[in-house]
Amino acid sequence: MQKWRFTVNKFKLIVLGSFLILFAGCAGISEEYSGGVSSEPTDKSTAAKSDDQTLKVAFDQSINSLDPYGAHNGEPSTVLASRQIYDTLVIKDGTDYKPRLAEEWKEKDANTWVFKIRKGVTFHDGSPLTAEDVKYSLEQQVNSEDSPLTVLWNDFEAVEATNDHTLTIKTKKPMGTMLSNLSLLFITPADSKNDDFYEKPVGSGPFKVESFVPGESLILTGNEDFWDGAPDLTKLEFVNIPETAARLTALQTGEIDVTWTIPADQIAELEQAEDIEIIKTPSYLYYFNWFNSSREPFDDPLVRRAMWHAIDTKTIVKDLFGETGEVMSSPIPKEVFGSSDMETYAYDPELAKELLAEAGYPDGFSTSMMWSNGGGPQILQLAETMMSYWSEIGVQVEPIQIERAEWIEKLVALDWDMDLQTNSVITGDGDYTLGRLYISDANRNGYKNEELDKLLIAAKETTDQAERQKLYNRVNQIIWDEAVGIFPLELKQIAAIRTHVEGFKPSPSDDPEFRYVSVKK
Amino acid sequence: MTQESTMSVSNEMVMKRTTLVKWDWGIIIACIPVTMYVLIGIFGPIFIDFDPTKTFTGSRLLPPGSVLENGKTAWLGTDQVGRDILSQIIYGTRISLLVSLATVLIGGSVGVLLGLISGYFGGLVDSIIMRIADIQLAFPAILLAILIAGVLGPSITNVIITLSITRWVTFARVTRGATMATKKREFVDSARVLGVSNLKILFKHVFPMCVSPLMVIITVQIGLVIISEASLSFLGLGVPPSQPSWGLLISHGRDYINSAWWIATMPGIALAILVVSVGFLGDKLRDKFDPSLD
Repeated sequence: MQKWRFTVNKFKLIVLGSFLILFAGCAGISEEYSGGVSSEPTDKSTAAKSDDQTLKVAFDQSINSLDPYGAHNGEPSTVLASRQIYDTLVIKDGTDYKPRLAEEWKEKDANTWVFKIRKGVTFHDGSPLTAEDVKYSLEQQVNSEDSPLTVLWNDFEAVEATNDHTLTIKTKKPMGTMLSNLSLLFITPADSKNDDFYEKPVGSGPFKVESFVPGESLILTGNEDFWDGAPDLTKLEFVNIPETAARLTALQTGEIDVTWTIPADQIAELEQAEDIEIIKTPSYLYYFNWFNSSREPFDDPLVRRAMWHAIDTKTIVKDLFGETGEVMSSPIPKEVFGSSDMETYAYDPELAKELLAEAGYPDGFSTSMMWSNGGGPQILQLAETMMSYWSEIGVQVEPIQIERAEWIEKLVALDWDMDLQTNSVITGDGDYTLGRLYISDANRNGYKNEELDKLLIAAKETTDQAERQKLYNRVNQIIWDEAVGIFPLELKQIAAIRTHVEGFKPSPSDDPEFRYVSVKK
Repeated sequence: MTQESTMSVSNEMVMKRTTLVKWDWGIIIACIPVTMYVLIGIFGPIFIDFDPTKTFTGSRLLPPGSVLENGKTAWLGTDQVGRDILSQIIYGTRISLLVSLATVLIGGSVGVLLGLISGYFGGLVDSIIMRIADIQLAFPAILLAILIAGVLGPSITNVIITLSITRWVTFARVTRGATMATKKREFVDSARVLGVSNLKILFKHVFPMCVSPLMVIITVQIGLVIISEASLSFLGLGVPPSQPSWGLLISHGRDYINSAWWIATMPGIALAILVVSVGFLGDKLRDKFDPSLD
């Protein structure tokens, strides 16, 4: 008897357990339908802001370093922080460059640039900014061993401060990327040599550093003495909220005011909230699927083109990425200098099969595709969908999803058949991607073409931007027609702000300037 | 000592009970869901027309009961690339059962063999095997599994190898206990006196006495292995992304828990029901065959 009762109790427990699971499922249903209600505006935090101008920002990465010449200076988060704290000589505006610390500049000869440095600019500690500070900053960048941006300055020869407000830069070869490189060179005081300087750095930008905890938060205050007018914001806070769901909830409850990088499937939910505005802008981030052209069967351009024709890029972008993606028309995103407008490969599986047959693979072949965990938004879905399309033309693809460290190792060693990844043209200039990755010496994807090499070097060494654009048009055409890779889509930057935020303009490289932002009272 | 004596008592009880053929309804009821899962695992993928590598981006994230473009109904909804969740769960059943049975078979065989040797011969061999087992037991099983799986890389075979390595210890310890109890029994002594070889004594006289406690352990371990496989796949260390494992489905559905709850919930329910039924069956078997184990 004793034993029987025992088992009956157990049975009850199991029934109870299954109900719990069912309830959990139902909770999911009700949550979905009450989604609009839960995102009701909570004005508690905004009410407190009526007299001071405080803005809280969280995005998908953490700010790990404020050193603009260190190992982190290729990361958008460090560039973002630097944009607020420091200033640059020039700034990119569309495809052109506008003066900032440099009032004007001229090319004395093909290898000499002269910049006139703005007078009356001071650092946060009150000391004046002179050409010596710029010289120091440029030398820091050129000599930095950790910085991924050092390679941009390979043709740099010397820099000289002619007087307090004149700077001369000499190059070994003509440098067509001078202005784009300078738009990423942040100016620090010439005596900022001590190691703990970057814990609370001093710059000449619109915001001063109040406190900085790497990986957690950065608190800035408005710089009253900024040369171009003090910013409206008195306080600007960057906090790190790593989980996307938590970050979006924080925006809905008013804990933060601005965020960006929002997954396609989450936009609809945010759009329902009345006090949240979604801003979509082009970005420098895009997907490519490279073929290893040094390996069979991808050494044959027919096979590479067949692979592209087998994929319905338009449908994939529409279904998977919706408003967050756009079909590419060039091997670099539209917003980048040097992009062209070409016709995308049509979805034509029959043509793809014919091309494969012509190349000697009438029944298709087996290959593999590698990508890294978290290598881009919805990367697994994109990979699975592409593989599904390829199986239609008889190409069986083995998926290889690996950790980022292992992926980088294999990528550089050319130990792969196909590689799917995102890539960002951080300078906004085509040379950063085209000149760095597609030149034969770099040997990043096994593709070698002497004509392409000549064009890339010519484009790098030409200072006439119109001429450079013409050269890049030819470069793009070759990469496109030879199908060095498949360039399926460029990603849009999706930012969400609470409606009381004014003047926020997202940037394609994820480093918006907050000096123009204000909070409506 | 006391453990050994109760063991022999229990074995006598088992012998007494099994001679009386009596239906145990508890066990039969507990068998029903488990049998259903086994049948679904074996025959399900044969009857449904489903290719886990095919995606249908036009019908992604549809709620349960939606009608797809091709006229079929997705009873449990579709996932983030438009695949039917129900079909994936059915395929996943096969993977879960395959991994758990193979693990119990391989890990179990190794464990039983080492347990028999250790219990029967005793001495230095026993000390070495049992100390290795103790060291391994002191280390959390899932951490060890993550370590091994991380080194081997994701594939079904590697998951089976990994989980076998983490599971042999339990089998070895239970078999050793039963062996030590049995080897002191009169019939074993008689066999030894008659000059029967050690090998023959081990497999003909000692091993049969270990079967009933092993039956209980096997059912308990199957449940644990299914969960371990799902955990490893969830972490991306189990089966490769091209195979629809339950753990992988839950992991992929995690990002959509607010907007498309069914992707993670449905395989979660399937997993919970299977593990609970197997555990329930194990409990009933233990009550019947070996009340002294706990």
